[in-house]
Amino acid sequence: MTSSLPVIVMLLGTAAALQCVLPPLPVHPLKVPLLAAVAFYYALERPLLPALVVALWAGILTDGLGGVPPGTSAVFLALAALVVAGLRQVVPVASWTGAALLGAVGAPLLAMLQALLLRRQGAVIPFALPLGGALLLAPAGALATGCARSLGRHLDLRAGNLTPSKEVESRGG
Amino acid sequence: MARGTRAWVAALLLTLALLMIGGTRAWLHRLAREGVYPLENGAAWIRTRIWGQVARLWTADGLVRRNRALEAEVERLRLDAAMLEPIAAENRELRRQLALPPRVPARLVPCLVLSSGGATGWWRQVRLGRGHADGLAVGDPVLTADGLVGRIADLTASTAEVRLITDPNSRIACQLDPVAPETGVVRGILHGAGWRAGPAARPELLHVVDPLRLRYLERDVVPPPRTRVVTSGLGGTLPPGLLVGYLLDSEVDENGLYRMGDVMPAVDFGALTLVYAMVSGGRAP
Repeated sequence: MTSSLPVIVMLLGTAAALQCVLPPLPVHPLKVPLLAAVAFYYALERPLLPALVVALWAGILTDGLGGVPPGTSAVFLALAALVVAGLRQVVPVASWTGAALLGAVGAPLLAMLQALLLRRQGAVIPFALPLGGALLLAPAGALATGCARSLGRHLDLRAGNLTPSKEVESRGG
Repeated sequence: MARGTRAWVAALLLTLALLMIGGTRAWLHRLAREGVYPLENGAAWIRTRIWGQVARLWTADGLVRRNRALEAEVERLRLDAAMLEPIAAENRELRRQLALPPRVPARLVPCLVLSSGGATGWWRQVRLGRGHADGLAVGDPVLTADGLVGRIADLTASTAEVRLITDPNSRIACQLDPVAPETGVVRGILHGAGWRAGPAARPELLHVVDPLRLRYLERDVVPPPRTRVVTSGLGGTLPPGLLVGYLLDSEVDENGLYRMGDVMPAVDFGALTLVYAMVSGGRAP
């Protein structure tokens, strides 16, 4: 855990700051889900326990910095980590394609869940907003998760959290 | 159980405990904003100080021209201020003679805009690099020289979340300005952009700036286009007279009960870099 913690803090901190500072998607006000992408990377590549911890903290940061009901993103990302952990037993998902697929599916689902809970709390969110956002978030989520995976793997390999043999294995998968 | 696994289990249980306890969730959210504040502030500093300087190097001629224009504007504003001073003194004297209460004291705190839209983009809001440590409070109005930007919705020690008047959830008590003697004060409620009623709801490209919607105006008063819309001060949440925007057109609603109109905001929300929070206490702005 000692060598993982700096990488986690660095990835989550960078993702949180970039997600806030970067402009939203083109022709849509939603932001590229970089924090969720980091959580997806951990779900795909690392053991379940670190993946769950990162998912919860990525969710806390997303909700806290995005004005979303507390726990929404944290619970969703933790569930996603559990589902991916189950999938990893039967399908080799730890690859760039797997990351892109998870980002393309997970990011729109997360946005729709946020919209649903915000509407239940009385926020005025037109139906077109999450639907249009889902179309744009799918490629954005795929790209973001792919990039988060590349950066995360680079940092984790340098920190010794991943072994080169695992890298070879995942490239093959 | 290995030592590393025990540490991860402990971290997971601690995080879950923090999420489960109701009081800590809001605290966690504020902690997140405070934690990201240095990074956002650094990015804003680079954007305004370093990138701004680099851009100016490429536009030295433009800088000289802009400097001349600004000097001329400063001279004009000093002249305006000098001409307004006797009027202000006269106003103070008249208020004293009429025994009117003093104006609500307020001061303007300049705030750098750190980011817009938050981490998700659901809210039309901006985050400012000032918080309750600088005297800001929830509900304080935020302005630029052009007009009202929004109200502070949430605070930490160093940051403030400002809900823009363009947010669909924004509601502001407004009135038309100037007040015509024959019609009296015409008041309404200004709804944020993106508000769509029932069957009229339709998807639109969201990058198009939606006009705000001023509802519940007096039905029989037909205001001319470009009428100024200012805050009415009703409800006490905002001071009266702050410019919000300009009325584009108006129509009687389908039930014939009231008039409603489209309002173009006075502020360019795409170019917010420095805004002012109107804080209670201190000298009048």
